[in-house]
Amino acid sequence: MLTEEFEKTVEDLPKDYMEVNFGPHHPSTHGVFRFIARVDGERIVGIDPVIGYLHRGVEKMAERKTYIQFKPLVDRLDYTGALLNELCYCQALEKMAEIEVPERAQAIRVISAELNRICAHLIFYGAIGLEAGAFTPFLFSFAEREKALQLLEMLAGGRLTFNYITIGGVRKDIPNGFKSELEKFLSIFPKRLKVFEDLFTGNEIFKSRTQGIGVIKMEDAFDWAMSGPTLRGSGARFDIRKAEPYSGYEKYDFDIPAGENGDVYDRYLVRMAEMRQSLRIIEQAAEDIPSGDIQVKVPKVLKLPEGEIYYRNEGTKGEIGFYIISDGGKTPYRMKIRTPSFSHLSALGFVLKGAYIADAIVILGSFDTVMGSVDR
Amino acid sequence: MEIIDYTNIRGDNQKVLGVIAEKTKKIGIIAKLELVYDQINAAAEARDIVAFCMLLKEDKDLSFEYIRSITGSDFEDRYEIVYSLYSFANGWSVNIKVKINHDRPEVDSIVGVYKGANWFEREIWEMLGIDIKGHPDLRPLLLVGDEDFHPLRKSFEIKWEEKEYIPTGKFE
Amino acid sequence: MEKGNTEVGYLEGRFKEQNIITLSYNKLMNAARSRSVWYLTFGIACCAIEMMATGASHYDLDRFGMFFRASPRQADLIIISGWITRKYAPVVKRIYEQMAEPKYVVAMGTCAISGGHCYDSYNIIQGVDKVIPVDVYVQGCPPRPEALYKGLLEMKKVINRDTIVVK
Repeated sequence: MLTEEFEKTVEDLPKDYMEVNFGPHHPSTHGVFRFIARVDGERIVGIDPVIGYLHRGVEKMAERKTYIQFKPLVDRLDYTGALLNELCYCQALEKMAEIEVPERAQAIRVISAELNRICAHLIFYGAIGLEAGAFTPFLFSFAEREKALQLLEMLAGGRLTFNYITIGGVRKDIPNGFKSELEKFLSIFPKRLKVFEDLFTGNEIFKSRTQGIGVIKMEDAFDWAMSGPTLRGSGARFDIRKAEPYSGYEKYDFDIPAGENGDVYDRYLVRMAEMRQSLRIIEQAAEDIPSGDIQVKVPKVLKLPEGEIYYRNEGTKGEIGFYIISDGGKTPYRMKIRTPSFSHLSALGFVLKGAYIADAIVILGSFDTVMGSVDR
Repeated sequence: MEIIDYTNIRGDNQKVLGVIAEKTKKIGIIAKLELVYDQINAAAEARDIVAFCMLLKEDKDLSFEYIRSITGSDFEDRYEIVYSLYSFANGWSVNIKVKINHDRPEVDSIVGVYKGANWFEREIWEMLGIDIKGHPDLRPLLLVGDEDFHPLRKSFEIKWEEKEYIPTGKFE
Repeated sequence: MEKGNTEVGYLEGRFKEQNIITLSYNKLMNAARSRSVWYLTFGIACCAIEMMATGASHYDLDRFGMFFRASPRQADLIIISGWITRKYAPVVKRIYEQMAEPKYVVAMGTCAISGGHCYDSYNIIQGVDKVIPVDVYVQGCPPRPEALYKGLLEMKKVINRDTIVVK
């Protein structure tokens, strides 16, 4: 009919694309990230991402410091969930040097790591609210995050960067009064989570902004090296805590959520369900913490045997990996850090083809990237 | 899409050593395999890397769909690049190591096999100066682009001097 | 003022009849400006999370009259929260130049004061005061929200030193 012929001729006309710059200083790209989008009307045709505004050369600095001197810098890679980076680094060294961690330290490590995972997912909840256009969830989630941070401050002594997990154990024991505060938190938090879910999960506006947007199929997710909640939202029920268990995770009973459609809404649901599973793990771990030492005796200057190892962990955003080459000396010969946000951002151009400009921000928020770990 | 459950897959790397050795011999790739820290380490030639990765990805029994990381490092007489792969369907992990000369540092790109290797290879080109042949888009990724050094080479040393602060003597 | 009405604070019960207050124009303008400083959201790295937590509901910055604005042309204060690399320094300078006078800078965290944990890297500028002039330094890694309060309330002393009218 008339409209069909009109559309066909419109498609054949020569096109002139406009380039829009989402600059490094932007209120809602997570951190310092710049991309130049080539737009045809309102639809994105291709993007050119620019990263490296936060590159400090951590891998080069690692070759001049001893293993214990390097540990505070590992904290600041993925700064929303700092304890999980430290856990991966210390476990890689312990596996190479064959150090056995006592059971009490393993239980304390699990409790602090899962509390930190809850804090990081609450930041995601606030941020995706801001990107879809709502301001209230940001205030709600940061208020709840304060309660978890107060628990972590009692235990580890810090709010954002901790330096608490050491090679061979943890630094300090559980103080008096921690268990009663933890029980209070565990009884109140599920009800608050229900309030958060009621705000977004059934909300018509949120659903129409996030369903069917940014769909990633499972084969593409494997090809682009995605992991963590982004991969689970695309249908692969996989978790490193179950596949290669570490630090006593095989003793606890928890489920792994997964999504069916691979869109933004499913990735949001996966992270909300993961918070509930973290609460289950903390309950089981805090029931009976075995007694004993919290730290094994380790030489002051640690020397690793010659060899190479690749060790990985389940961080808050995905798979954190350390590839360490050691030549038997005090300092590592080469330390390569594999972070999940680096691979997720490289797939952004592929996911954003054909999306609207307004949806591009929501998709970037659902990847939940931290620029400190992209640039290292 | 349906959800595929990978929770209860435990891969035994010992069993798959023999299978990989057979299949690489059939194609004509020389690879030395050994088991270190529960993972398979394979040493291969630089010209065979694309065929090796294609075999590991496409074969129905092996199906290594996921590239974990690409690491480059600088030794005294050679460069070494390590490709880490993982199989979701079976739970096996492999690290392939490739040695390159100092005089002519170049290697083929595996972007045709795994799309996710794109930014890893750009970073190796930038930090170590190894030429990646066949890469669609070789540009500076993390650095500004006007430097004349490659940071991760051992010949580049960071010169940082402690400067003493001398007050100017002006009081205002 | 009768008792039982809403209080006016400083002025309650001081005057029996209608009166005139004489004040220097500078003091009036500075008193008004220092109680309503709008800051630019310029989060770079880890300290940005603490800045967001300070602006959120538990530690509230809105009660001091501080609110975040996203555009540099509408902001008075820029809080540098993170480390500055060689690639990012021209961007910081450009944003500082885009802000309208009078403008102030707070350097938050040790990375912005003097380089921080990565001071001996090849790509880092040791301190943001090599790029733009800084008024208040807040230390910590990251500084607690209470420490950031003290730094932001010190801005009052900085603003009270300004003169607008006297040439």
